[in-house]
Parts: sequence; structure tokens; C-alpha cells
Amino acid sequence: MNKLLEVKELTYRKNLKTILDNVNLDFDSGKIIALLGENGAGKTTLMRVIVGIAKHYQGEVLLNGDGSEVYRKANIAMTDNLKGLSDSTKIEEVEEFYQKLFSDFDSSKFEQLRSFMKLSNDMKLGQLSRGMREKLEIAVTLSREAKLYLLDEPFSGIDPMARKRIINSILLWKNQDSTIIISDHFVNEITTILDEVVIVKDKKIASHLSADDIRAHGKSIEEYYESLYADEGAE
Amino acid sequence: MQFQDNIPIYVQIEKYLYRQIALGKINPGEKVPSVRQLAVDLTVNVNTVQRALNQMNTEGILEVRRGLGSFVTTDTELILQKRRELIKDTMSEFLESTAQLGLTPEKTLEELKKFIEEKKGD
Amino acid sequence: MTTFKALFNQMGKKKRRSVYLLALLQLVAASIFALWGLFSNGGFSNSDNPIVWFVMVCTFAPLADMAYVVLSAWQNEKEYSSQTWRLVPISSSKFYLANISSAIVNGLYLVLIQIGMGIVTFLPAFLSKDVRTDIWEINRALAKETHAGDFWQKFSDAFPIGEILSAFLAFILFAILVYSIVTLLNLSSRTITDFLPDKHSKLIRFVIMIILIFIFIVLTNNLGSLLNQVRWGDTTNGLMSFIENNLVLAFIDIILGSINVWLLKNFHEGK
Repeated sequence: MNKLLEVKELTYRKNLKTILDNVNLDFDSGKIIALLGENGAGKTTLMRVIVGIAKHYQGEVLLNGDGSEVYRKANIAMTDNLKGLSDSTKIEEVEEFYQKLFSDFDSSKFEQLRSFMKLSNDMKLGQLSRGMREKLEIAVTLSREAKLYLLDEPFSGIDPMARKRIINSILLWKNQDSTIIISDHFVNEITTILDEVVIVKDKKIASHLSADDIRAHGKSIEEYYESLYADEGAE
Repeated sequence: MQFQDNIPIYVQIEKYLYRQIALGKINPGEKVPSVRQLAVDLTVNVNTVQRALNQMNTEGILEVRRGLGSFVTTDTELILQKRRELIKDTMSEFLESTAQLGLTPEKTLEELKKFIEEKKGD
Repeated sequence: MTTFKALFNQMGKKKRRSVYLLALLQLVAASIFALWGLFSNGGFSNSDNPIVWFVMVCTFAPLADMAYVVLSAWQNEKEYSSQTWRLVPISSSKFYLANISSAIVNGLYLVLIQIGMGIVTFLPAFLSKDVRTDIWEINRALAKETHAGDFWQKFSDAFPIGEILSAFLAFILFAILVYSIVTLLNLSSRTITDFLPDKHSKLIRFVIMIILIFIFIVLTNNLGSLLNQVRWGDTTNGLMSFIENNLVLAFIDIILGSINVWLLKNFHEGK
């Protein structure tokens, strides 16, 4: 079976600093994958390279074998997608923006997600709390029928109850063939839905395992993740 | 349903379903909830549910009919056998726990009898 | 894949709002000044009064236009640097073209609104007897010309279509030039800053922009004298010189545009 996503020998530098060093990864379709690592480890950068926003890197990124930036942007949906809209933009205008510019945006799905998240159409972006804004980003991202979803710390401002509901909606609505990559700097209640775990450490991929393989050794994902940092001593 | 994170999820799903069947919550011949529904109910991945169902299919407890779903076997003997296995597992886990508390299996049996008597009195 | 039209429309939305805002501001400012002129001793004699509004609208028009150029250029640059916009699945060249063309088209829309405002605010002028007499006399003069049969010749002498179109084209090409230069400065300074340490990045970027502006001025001077030596054709003929200038402008626009698209495609990231 062909890989959905291949990252080959990716090195990314900025401001004279290396952020990712010779990263190699590949993913199949239909998986839910966690991307774990400390703050500043390069998770966001990796996602930005994958989707085609970050430029001037060495190495290759292929989605279904296609390396073109436009193809990736058209078939990958990423959170952190609202900053460029002004504070006075209403939610219904956000919907229009996405509906007009992305051919895979499903308006009816967005309506369902929007009411599920208790957000109303005439709310303005500037009025939203951090948690509401994150919910909106997730709603916009999941309303696209993409092959790959990149959720960058999607739950950081959202309370646990809402988190559960959002996770349930992901399980309910996820397309069989699409892959979701969720990044976070700590392991939380998403562990039971994971197929695979990727850990970014020291600018490289420290580990890429299936979640059940980790559990077959009697370790929880959290324990495994912490064990990789065990030799660095307590702070 | 809160699953542990240090035991493979598909194993836990299997146990959960076996319990449901053994307790008669899902009857022989009856259809098991869809893969997606189970995933949402248990807050687990669709892939792991699928793996669990496939496993149970191999063991004969479930019959996966393409396009229709998964059905519990009508082989009641097999179900009874599975129930016995589950009871054995539970007992072995129990004896492991009491052993950690310093009780031998014989001592455990004694304490258990006492406990049940006390319970009757309540 | 997103269509050019869809992106053009979305980019145009914000700019159109700026157009309405600036047109409104222009009208309000002109009206306030006109009222002030009417009620003060600021040198407006009675017969001039009805023209005041029209004059004020015309005075503020260039200000509104300049403000629009600044505002729309600012919006363009924001979109180049915005992750939300750069995530749209469209090629860098189409993105660039959509931005510039939506800025120019909406700018023309502003001018059209201003012409409309001009016509409307001129109407009160008909209250003045002097204005009415002047217009009637122009009418009579024109009628005489038509009678003479060489009206169209006179008309085309007064309003040479070829030159007007060329002037219009020159205006558009110049507008493209302005936006291209702003974009070039913005993108190249940011790109260079990305290759330097990120301490004091704002200051470094400012310094780099000054250096780039300096280089640009030097280059332009040299280019200007070079072009003057290469002049061909009859420069006394108005139309020819227009066409020559337009070709040069178009050439520069294409070069700057190509550099900008190259920078967008390979270096400049949205945040």
C-alpha cells in the first residue's frame, strides 16, 4: 500500500538555527497519530513544512507521491488558520471565506460542528475567548474533506468536558481513509484513540511506534514518553 | 468507558465485549453495535475496534458479515466456554492481588469465606 | 484548487470596504469644509457659494486616493505574511496577481465613486446664475462647431483617444509599479532577516529596508540615464513617447513581479 505522507531527509533552518535535522517519517492513510515533544521541539515547524507554508528547507515532502505545494495545501487541513482574519470578522463570514476558497469545505458539516461547539453565526472573532477561538479553528479544519489533518495543540485552551465532546466528534466524523496528526507537549486524554506515536526530540525523530506496541510492553504512552526524558534528570 | 493506557486497547475492547456477551447484554445471534458507534461509545479509535472485532471473529465468538456488521455466534457452548475463561481470568487477577498483600491461595479462600459470611449478615 | 476569481473576490472584499470608508470620509471632510467656507469670511463671495462643495470634494479626492494606495498596499503586505491567506491552495504567481489586481480594480472603483460624487456636488452650482450663463455659452459655441461639420476633428483634437488610452494604461502600469516596489521591499527585507539571527529582528529589518531603498534609488538613477540613451522613435510625438514609456514600465513591472513571485514561492512564509 502506498504511503499517504512521506517526509524525506528534512532539514529546516531559520535565523541561523537548525530546527529540524534530517527528519524521516512516513504515514499510512486512516490513522490517528500523536506528535509529541517539548515546547520548541519543532512540532509546529514540522506541520508547517508538511502543509507547504514553511519554505526553503532541504529534503522532500510527498503527499500521495505528489510534492507540489498547491496539491498539499489543497489536500491537507491545518489548525491555526484564523489569524489573518480581522477581529471584526463574523463567524458566518469565516464560513464564507473557507467555502469560497476551499473546494473541499463542507458547509453543512461546518454548521453541525459550529452548533455542536455552541458558537453562533454573528459572533465576531475579536469577541471570542481563547477556548471558543480554538473550537472554531477545529470546526473549520474538520469541515474540510482532507486527506490529512494537522491539529497543532488543538485543545490547549479548551476545558476537559468540551475536549471529550470534540474528541467524540472527531471519532464520529472522521473519514475512514484520512489521517489525523495531533501535536501536543504533554500526553492527555487522547491516548486511547491513537494508532501511532511520534516523538520529536533534539531536532530529530526520537521514536515512531504504534501505540499498541508500546502498550504491549505494559507501558502507558505517557510513561513511555517520559522515559525518553528520564536520563535528563528532574528539574 | 475508561480504558487503561498500558494494556493494548484492542485487548481491552475484546474483554469488554466478551463481558457484554457473557452477561447476556448482547444475545446470541444479535448484532453488535457498528464499528463507528463502538468507537464513539468507548472513546477509542475505529482501527482498534476493527482489530478487536477481527480477533473475536477468528476465535469464533463473533461472525463478521461484510456490509451487515458483526453478529454474536449462536454457539452457546462457545459462549459458556468463554464465560468460564473470563471467570478464571478474574480469579487469577484476584489471587495475584491478594498474593501481593501476603496471602497464600488457601489463606485467601479462608478470608473470602469469612467476608461472604459477614456480608450475609448485613 | 482555488480559482483566481474566488481569491480575487475575497481579497477585494476588504479593499472595497476601505474604498467605501475613504469615499465617505472624503465626502464628510469636504462637506464640513464647505459648510465652514459658507459660514465664515474665508473669501467666498456670494456667487461662488454653490461651487464650494464641488471644490472641496475635488480638493479632498487626491488625499483619499493616496490614502487608498497606502491602505491597500498595507493590506496586500499583510496577506502575503498571513498564514491564513497563504494556506489557500493556489500558486504564488496567481496569489500575487490577485492581490495587485484586486487593489487596482478597487482603486478604479474609488475613482468612479469620486466622479459620481463630483457630479452630484456640482449640481448645486446650477443655482448660480453665472454658472448657468457660462454653460449656456459653451453649448452655443459647441453648436456652432457642429454646424461647421468638423466637429469630430475638433473633438479628437481636444480629446485624442489614443493618447488618453495610453495615459490610462500608463497610470495603471504606474500603480502596478508602486505596489510591486512596496512588495519587493517588504518581501526581500523579511527574507534577508530570516537568514540572520533573530535578536533585534525588527531593528535589523528596518536597517535592511533603508539599505535596499538606497540601492533602489541608485539603480533607478543609473537605469534612467541608460534608458535615455536608448531612446528610439520620435519623442516629439505624444503617442509614441507614451507607448515607449508604457513598454518600459511594463517591462519593469514584469521584472519586479517575477522577483516577488520567486520570493513568495521559495522564501517568504506566512505566520
